[in-house]
Amino acid sequence: MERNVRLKWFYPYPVETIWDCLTEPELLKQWSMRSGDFKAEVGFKWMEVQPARPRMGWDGKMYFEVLEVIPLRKLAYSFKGGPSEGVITLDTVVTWTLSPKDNGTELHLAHTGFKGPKNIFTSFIMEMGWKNKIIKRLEKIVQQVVYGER
Amino acid sequence: MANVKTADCFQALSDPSRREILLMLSKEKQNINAIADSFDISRPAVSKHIKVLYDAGFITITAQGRERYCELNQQGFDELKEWISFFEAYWTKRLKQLDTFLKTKHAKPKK
Repeated sequence: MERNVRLKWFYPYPVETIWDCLTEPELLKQWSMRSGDFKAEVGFKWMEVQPARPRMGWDGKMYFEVLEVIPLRKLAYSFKGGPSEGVITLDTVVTWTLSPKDNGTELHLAHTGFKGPKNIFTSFIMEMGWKNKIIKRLEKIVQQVVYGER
Repeated sequence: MANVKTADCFQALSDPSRREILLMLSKEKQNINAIADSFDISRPAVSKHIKVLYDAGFITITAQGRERYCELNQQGFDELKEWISFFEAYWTKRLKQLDTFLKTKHAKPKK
């Protein structure tokens, strides 16, 4: 099963325009319902608030930090959250990638790293297909997950 | 699940007998006696394995009459699905909003 969110969208506008929309506070405010508190600078942190979703174990607070900025091409930020102040169970990365295409821009969004400690192992177990030969690979996969391989 | 440490999960999965138990449970729930019967190891050893799996959150244990049944805990799996579908909808909405914004801001696409 898919453990990441991957989406793409085509906009009939140059990458410069799309990049500005993703990074300029004045523009962000206008389309993304955000406060506009943003800087395309590695290490910049901000927070957004969504309605809480207790069923998912989430208080709705989204903690972001810019991880990578390649002007006109790539913007990545970490996105963390959890059930309450200071408790982080969702530790993910949001990556926007822009590429020029047909007089416009193809914008890719990847939201990766959904791996709550239990759900990731459960889903590995579920995906194993219950075949014995695969069990031998389990150890290796588990190691990769535990030691940070994504 | 917020309290489950990765180390606990890793420890739980590090043992071949415990992985075997999880695989057995993936097919259907089993009572503890049936699990014990399928292994060459002692009954107390099996009980201990089951406790480790339970503590790590992999399985749930329910009593039916005098029997105790173990079942794979579906919660972690369901939670993950819920997160994925939530954020898929969330980001799709954002992409659409950007589309709408661009259309209203620029009457005609720039070349």
